[in-house]
Amino acid sequence: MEALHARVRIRWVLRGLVGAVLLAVVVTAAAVFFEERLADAGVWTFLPGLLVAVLGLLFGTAHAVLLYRDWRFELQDDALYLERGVLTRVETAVPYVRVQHVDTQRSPVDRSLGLSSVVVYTAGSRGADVTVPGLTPERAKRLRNELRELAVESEPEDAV
Amino acid sequence: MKRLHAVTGVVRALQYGVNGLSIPFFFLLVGSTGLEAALGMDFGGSVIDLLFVVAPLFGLLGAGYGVATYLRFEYELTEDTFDFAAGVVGRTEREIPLRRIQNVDISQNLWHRLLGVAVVRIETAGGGGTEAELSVVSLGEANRLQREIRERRDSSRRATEAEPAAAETDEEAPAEDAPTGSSTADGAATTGDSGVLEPLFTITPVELAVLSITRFRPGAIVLVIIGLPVLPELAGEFLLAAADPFGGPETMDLPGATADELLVLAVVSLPLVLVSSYLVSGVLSAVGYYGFQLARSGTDLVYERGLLQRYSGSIPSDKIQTVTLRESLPMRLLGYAALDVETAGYAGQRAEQGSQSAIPVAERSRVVELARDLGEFSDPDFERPPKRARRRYGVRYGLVVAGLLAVLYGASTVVAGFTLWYLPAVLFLLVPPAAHLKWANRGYHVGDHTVVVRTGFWRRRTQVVPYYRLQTVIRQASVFQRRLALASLVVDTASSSTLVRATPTAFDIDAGTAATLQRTLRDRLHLELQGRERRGS
Repeated sequence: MEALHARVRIRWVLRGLVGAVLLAVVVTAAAVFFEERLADAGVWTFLPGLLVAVLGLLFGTAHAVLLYRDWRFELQDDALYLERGVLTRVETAVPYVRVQHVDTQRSPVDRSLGLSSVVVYTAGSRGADVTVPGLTPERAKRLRNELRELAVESEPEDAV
Repeated sequence: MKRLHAVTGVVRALQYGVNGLSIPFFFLLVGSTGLEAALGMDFGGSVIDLLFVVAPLFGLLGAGYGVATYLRFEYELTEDTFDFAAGVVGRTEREIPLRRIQNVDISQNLWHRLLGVAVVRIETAGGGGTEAELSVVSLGEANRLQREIRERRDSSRRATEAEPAAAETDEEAPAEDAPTGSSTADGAATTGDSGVLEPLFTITPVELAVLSITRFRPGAIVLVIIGLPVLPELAGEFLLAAADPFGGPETMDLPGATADELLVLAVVSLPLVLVSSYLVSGVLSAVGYYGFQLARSGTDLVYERGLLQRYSGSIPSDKIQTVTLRESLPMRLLGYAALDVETAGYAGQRAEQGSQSAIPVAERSRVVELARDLGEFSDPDFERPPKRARRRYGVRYGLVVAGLLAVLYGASTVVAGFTLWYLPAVLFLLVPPAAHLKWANRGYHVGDHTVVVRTGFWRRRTQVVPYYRLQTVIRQASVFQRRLALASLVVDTASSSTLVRATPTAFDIDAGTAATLQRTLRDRLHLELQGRERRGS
C-alpha cells in the first residue's frame, strides 16, 4: 500500500483554513447585526468570529493530519484499490476493465506545492470519478501511464 | 436527409413570432419609461407609434427564425448510424452509432395526438442529456424510427458476432451479447422475427386500480399545496370545520389563535392534505399508466402507456444494468409487486420520470416470472445483517424521538399556551418494531451470476446486479458502524440516476464479511468477463 506525499497535508490544511475563514465571516456578520445585544452581555463583537475561526482551523488541521495518516492506495492485480476517510472509512475497488479514461490534474495550489492528482473515470453512477490527490508530478504521471496500460491490457477482448 | 413534420414549421413560426413580437413591447415600454424619468423628457405618443412599426417587424423576424429552425433541421437513419444536423446560426451535426443507442422514446401530449404527431427522443449512455430530440414527426414516422433503429442494430450486432475481431470495444463491449446462458438461444430465435412483437404483459383494470391505490407520487402533495390557494376560502373553511371538534381555532385569524389550537389545526389538516394528495396521485397514476403494454421485439422491450398523453419506449434488454423489484408495504399486503429496469441511457431530469417501469404493477408471482424471463433474476433467501445492526437502528430512532422532544420542550418554554410538548413521547413505543422491521427487510444474496440486495420496509427494493455489470465496489463504514464492526457495501453500476433510485447497497453487514464480499465481487466480475468472452468467440 502506498501513502500520499506528506505535503498534501498543507493543501488540506489550507482547504480547512478557507472553510474556517468563510464560516468566521458568516458568524461575524451575524455578530455585527446583534452588536448591541452582545455588548450588553459583555462580549466583544469579533470574539465569536475569532473563536469559530480558531476552532475551524483546529478541526481542519486535525482532519488533514488524520486523513493523511490513513490514506492508502495500491495497484492490485485486477483493480485500483483505495482506502481513506476519517469519520466514514471508504474503501474503493476500481477494476481496471472499468476505467474509461485517466487524468492528471494540477490546481494552482497543487502547482505551488509541487503536487499533482490523478483522476480515474468510470461509467458508474456513483463514484464515477475517483481521485488520488497529493502525488508528486512524476509519480502522478507514472501512475496515469500504469493505469492506462492496465486498462488496455485488461480489455475484455484480450482476456481470453 | 429528412425534415421534421411540417406542423413543426407552423408551430415554431408562431412560437418565435410571438416571442419576437413581445420583445419590442418590453424594451420600448419599459425602456422609454426609464429614459423619460432619467432625461426628464416626455416622449408622448411617439413610443406607441414606433411600437406599431417595430413590433410587427420583430414578429416577422421571429417567425422567420422559427421557420428557419425547422428548415435547418434534417435527420437521416443510415445503415449503422442516426445522423442529424440542426441550428440556424450555430450548427450541430451529430452521428449516433445505432449500437450505442440505449433508449428510443416516443411521447405525445394531447395536441400531438390531435395532430397525429409525436416527439422522439434518442438516448445513449454518453452526455448529460437527450442525445437527439425530434420534435415533432408524424406518429407513423416515429414508430418507423423506433422499429428500424431496433432492427438495424440487431442486424449489425449479428454481423459483428459472426466476425468477432471487428467488435468495437468499450465499457459496453462485454455486454453486447444477450444475457448469459440465453445468448445462443436468443440469437437463433430472433434471427427471423426481430420485427414481430411478442406481448409480455398488458395491465388489467384490477392492476390499474391496485397501482392507483399503492403508488404514491410525492409530486401530488406539491400539486395540492399549490392548488390550495386556488380555492382558499373553501379549503380554509373545510380545514377549520374539521379541526373544530378537537379544539382547533374558531376563525381563520391564525395569529390570534393559541399555540395549542394551532397545533391541533396542523395535526388535523396534515392528514387531510395527505389524503387529498393521495387521491390526486391515484388519478395521475391511473391516467399515466392506462393501457400499459409491454412486449418483446428481438432483444428489445417495447412499452406503451397513457390515457391522455401517450408514451412509448424501447429498452434494449442486453443493455439493462440492474433489475429492481419494488414492493411498497400496501403492494406487499395485496400481493403485488412492480419491476423497474435501469439502463445507462437517461440522464438528469429524464431519469426522474420513472419511465423505465418494465411492469408498473402485477401479481408478485407474475412479476418474478417476467423478471426471470428478462435476465438472471432470482428471488433467493437473504442473508440478514447481524443482530447488532438492529440494535443500532433502535438507538438511532430513539435518539430521533428524544431530539424531537427536546426541541418541543425548548419551544414550550418560549411559546405561551404550548403545553403539549410531551405528546410525541408515544413515538418511543414505535421504536422497537420500527428497528426490527428495518433490520428484517435488509439483506443480500450472492448468487451464481448476480448479487441481490434488498432494503426498505415502506418501499422495499430488491435490486439484482449481474456481476458483469459491476463498475466500482465501495466498502464504507462510519464511526458508528465501526464501533459495532459493521460496514456497508455499495455495488455501483452504470445506471443513469442516483437521485431517485439508490445505488445498490448491502447495508450494515459484518465488517469482515464485507471485506470478503468485496473481494468475491471483484473476482466474479473477472470470471464473468472472461467466460462471456470465451463464449462470444
